[in-house]
Amino acid sequence: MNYFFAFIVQAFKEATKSRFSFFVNMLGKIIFFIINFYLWQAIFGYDGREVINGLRMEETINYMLFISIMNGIVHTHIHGKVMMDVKEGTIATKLLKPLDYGLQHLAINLGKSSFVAFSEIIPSIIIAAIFFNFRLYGLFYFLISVASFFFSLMLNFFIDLNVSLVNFKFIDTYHAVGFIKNVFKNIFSGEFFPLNFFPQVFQGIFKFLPTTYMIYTPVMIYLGKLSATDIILSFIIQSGFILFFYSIYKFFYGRLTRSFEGVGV
Amino acid sequence: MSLIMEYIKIKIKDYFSYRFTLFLFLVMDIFWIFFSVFPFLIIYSATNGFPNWSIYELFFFTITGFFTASLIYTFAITPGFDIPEKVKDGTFDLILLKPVNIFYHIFVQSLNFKNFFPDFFLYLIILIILYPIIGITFSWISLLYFLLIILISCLIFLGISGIFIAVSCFIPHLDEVVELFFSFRDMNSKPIDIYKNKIIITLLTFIFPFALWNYYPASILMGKIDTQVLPSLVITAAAFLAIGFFSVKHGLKHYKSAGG
Amino acid sequence: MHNNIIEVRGVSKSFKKFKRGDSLLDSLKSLFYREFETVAALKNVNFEVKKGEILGYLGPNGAGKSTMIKIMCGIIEPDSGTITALNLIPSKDREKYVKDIGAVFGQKSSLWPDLPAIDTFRLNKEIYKISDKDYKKRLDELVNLLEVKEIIKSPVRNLSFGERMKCEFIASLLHSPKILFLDEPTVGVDVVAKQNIRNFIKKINKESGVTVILTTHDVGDVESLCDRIIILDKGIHVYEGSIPLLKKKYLSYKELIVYFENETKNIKIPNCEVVESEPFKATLRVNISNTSMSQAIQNLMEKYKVEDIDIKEETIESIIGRIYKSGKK
Repeated sequence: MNYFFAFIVQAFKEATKSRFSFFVNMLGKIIFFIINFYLWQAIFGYDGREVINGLRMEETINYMLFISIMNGIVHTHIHGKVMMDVKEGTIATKLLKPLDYGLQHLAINLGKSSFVAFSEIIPSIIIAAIFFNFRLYGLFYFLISVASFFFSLMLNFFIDLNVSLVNFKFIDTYHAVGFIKNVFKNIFSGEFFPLNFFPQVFQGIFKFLPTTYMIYTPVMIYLGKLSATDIILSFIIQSGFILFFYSIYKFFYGRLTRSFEGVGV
Repeated sequence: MSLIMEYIKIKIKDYFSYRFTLFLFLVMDIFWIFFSVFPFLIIYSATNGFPNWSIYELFFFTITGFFTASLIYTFAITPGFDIPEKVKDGTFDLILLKPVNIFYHIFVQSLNFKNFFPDFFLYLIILIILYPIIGITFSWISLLYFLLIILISCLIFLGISGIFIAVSCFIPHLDEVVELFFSFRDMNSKPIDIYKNKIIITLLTFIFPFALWNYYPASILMGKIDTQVLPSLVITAAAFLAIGFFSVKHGLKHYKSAGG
Repeated sequence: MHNNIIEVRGVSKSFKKFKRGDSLLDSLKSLFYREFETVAALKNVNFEVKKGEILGYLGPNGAGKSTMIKIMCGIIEPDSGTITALNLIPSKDREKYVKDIGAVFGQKSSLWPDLPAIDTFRLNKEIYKISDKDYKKRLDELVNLLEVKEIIKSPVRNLSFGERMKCEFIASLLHSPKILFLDEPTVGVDVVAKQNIRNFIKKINKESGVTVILTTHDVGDVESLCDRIIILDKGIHVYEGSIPLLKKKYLSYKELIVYFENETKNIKIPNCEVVESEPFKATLRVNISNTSMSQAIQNLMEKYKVEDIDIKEETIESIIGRIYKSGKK
């Protein structure tokens, strides 16, 4: 366990290295706020209705703003890293460490996400509130949704980790496979727009997709749209999916590393 | 000339060194097209959509963006990714050790055919198919303006590459900055005229000019905007190229060379 | 002077490094405020390199060797001082200068990893504007010398380290450079390949007169290749001269490995230190600044019944290690 936390701390420290990118990240969030603020005003304005599929314009805008505030937490940094480890052979040194390879990367991700949470959430909420009418729908809902976002991170991570295992057999296909996974995830997680906009027939299917619990569910918690039972159920489902993808990872990881040839030195 | 041809040969060979690359990229492109237009379908099914744009016009707008991107990633922006990586790990030394004009060498050695095959051809075919569906009357002049704006955007992004290269000589973590810059590309996945805010439109045209990938070429071809904007785009291209050139020149003076 | 291919006069170079603390708090502080320190990599360095010589440029890690090599290659400029190579200023006349130099960096590869080395060679042919005839002749020569005919058409990622290094040498020598910079070229290479590479360097130096500047931590490279060495420590030259001169100047002891006829204990010989002792064998370190070997052996033979004696000199590695530690000139 010590090794795990050591990795987290190390990753946190590494994330503090670049001051410049920290300030640039904040600027990026502001610009995202601007774009979504005007975009949804334009769509609602052209449509004419006050409520579209259960969400008012203000709620839709706040939905998008909150995603931008929080998505630094959910973002996984494993993208391409496993591919580089395998391609360059540095995986050999990582496999020698007394911590499961996947958990090493999870710890690194948690470290980086913790830094994001620490450094970006409060300033971006303040800016969004002052300039874009962002508001909380209750401190309780906000805090629960932050917790849900950390679960989202782990869910997102283990899905990405499983996809990364492709590299052990087919190096360089990660770009294709990872790409398809990301596009699918972006749409069906609710990152592009609330899943409410999908036709009714999709709503039933979404309950069974892990992507629903990555962005859409935590943001709905923040908006106060879920009941207490639904919130508890969402955490259980997130945990279930995390365990499920972790198990798949362990199952395939053992087989793939045994047949892995490595890169000659 | 022979050097650029040799680089093109070696890069295409490198691209095809993995058998399934072309097939995989084709699959990726098809998915990318589907998932790019899919949100529009959803929004149009739930709302009235975007003002002044029909669903097919939006498809054309989207594919235009991809078409332009295939050229930009092949010829213009890759130095801005590639060279900072080399600066970071010290392998830029190997470029400085070659008796080739540094600007020319940066350009040719950064040529990237991963975004040319099959993208360029796939998107060109789709544009040709969509063209009659959106009901535009063909005009050579409009086509010329369409291609001119794409060329302008390539030149602008070549200049932006230069800025990235220069900055990488001072800042070690440029990749995060580049990633952030490119996140604005997502912002341009919708036509910029829906924002109705001059500041935003200016930003997306002249500072983070991804609107030149899709909005401007598609709109000028569809007659949604007139040619008044062209002179300012030409000036913008010249400005970015000049800034890029002088930035690289200045940045290289401060190149420290990483590692042993 | 006229035979000098490189002249370095008063070259200094510093780098700014920012100080980072160890703790989490220090890391967070660094977001808003950073302290910098200036580290002098080179301090007023002066030396020449003669045409056709093999110069070893040595020093402990962080001594400034790589910085000096990069300045000599024209990759970076010195903060002060002058350097001329091939009658040019490397950093200012870069394009003209690098036509006549080659470089092999042990840690950085110039080969395309997914393609055969032959593709990199063809590219270098275009970069250096080598004619078809010269290219073929030179390539055949180098491929035969290094015995790599079978491997230059295999993807580089499938080659062993030693094979890759040989291909790197070919890539750096195709254009027949006048100066060849080798930055740790045998690091990670097996013993056999190392020997092949050393023989190759000696051969091309002899046959084509190429000046070689070699940085290495491998003393074997130094002993077998270098006409002269320069030792750098903390940006300053602490030794410059040949290997025999280095031994003459710095050799402080030799060792006698003595085999006794009878079991022998408590060995005492003037100016000798017992390093190791077994019943029938002992290793004695003779301080040659206080006595001669012949005197030490005479003293030994007078006192004990000796069956056999081997003489061992202090190794170059040990001498260089002492110089690194003391910074002595």
